[in-house]
Amino acid sequence: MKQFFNVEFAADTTFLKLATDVTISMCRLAGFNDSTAKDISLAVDEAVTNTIKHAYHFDRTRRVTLQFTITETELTIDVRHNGKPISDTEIHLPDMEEYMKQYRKGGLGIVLMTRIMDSVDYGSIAGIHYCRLVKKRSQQHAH
Amino acid sequence: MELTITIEQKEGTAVIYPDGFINAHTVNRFEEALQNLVKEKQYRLVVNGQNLQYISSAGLGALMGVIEEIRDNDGDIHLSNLSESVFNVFDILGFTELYEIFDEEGPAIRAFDGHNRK
Repeated sequence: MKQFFNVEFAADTTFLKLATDVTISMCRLAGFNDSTAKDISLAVDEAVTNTIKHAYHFDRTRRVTLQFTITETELTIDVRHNGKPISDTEIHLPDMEEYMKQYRKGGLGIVLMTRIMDSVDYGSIAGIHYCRLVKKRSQQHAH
Repeated sequence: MELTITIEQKEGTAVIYPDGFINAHTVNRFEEALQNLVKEKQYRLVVNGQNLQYISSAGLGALMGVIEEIRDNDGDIHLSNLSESVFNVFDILGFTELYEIFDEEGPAIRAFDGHNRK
């Protein structure tokens, strides 16, 4: 059985904390422990921040939707928007060794997302763009 | 207030106490505090995370924004009293190799004695 929960909010960093709080609650509902729930909420923070920054260029009149889907096997979180699609260059994973040598700044969000989640994908359907974050539930969580 | 920053001077070191959450919404306050210290030529910094509940990559970016100038001036940023979840963010990114992290503030300050990266 699938369970859904959607939340929509203005593309304003003011709502980041609310978005992460909702994510932690959904992760608990899906049976993740507190530590994993916090990690997943961080991945959502990064995806929402990237959306506000790169897709909407901080235009607070636009909207971001989070859709949580819990299935027997996984938790899927879609971060949706109808702004500028995130381009391939923007989702390039930096070489962390070089990154640290050069004391670079920025671009760490995608690294956190990919290291925390089992998969991170970008796509578009009918003009709605999304970043899809997936975390597998362990067997004991499946009902 | 989602983030407040307090700074205390201790044994020639500026100790920064962020209280609350550092994310893309609040990071400007943290960034401004770091940049002001660097402008004042304070290159020995400790970030005491005893009241830091959360940090996203925005906060790590703020540290990266000043670390080069600080190290070029024989200084460094030490971190102390991090919660498990905040430490975990540094660890996931491999930043535990880039910054010295201490359990307590005292050793983080004293580690500057005789410390010279050049």
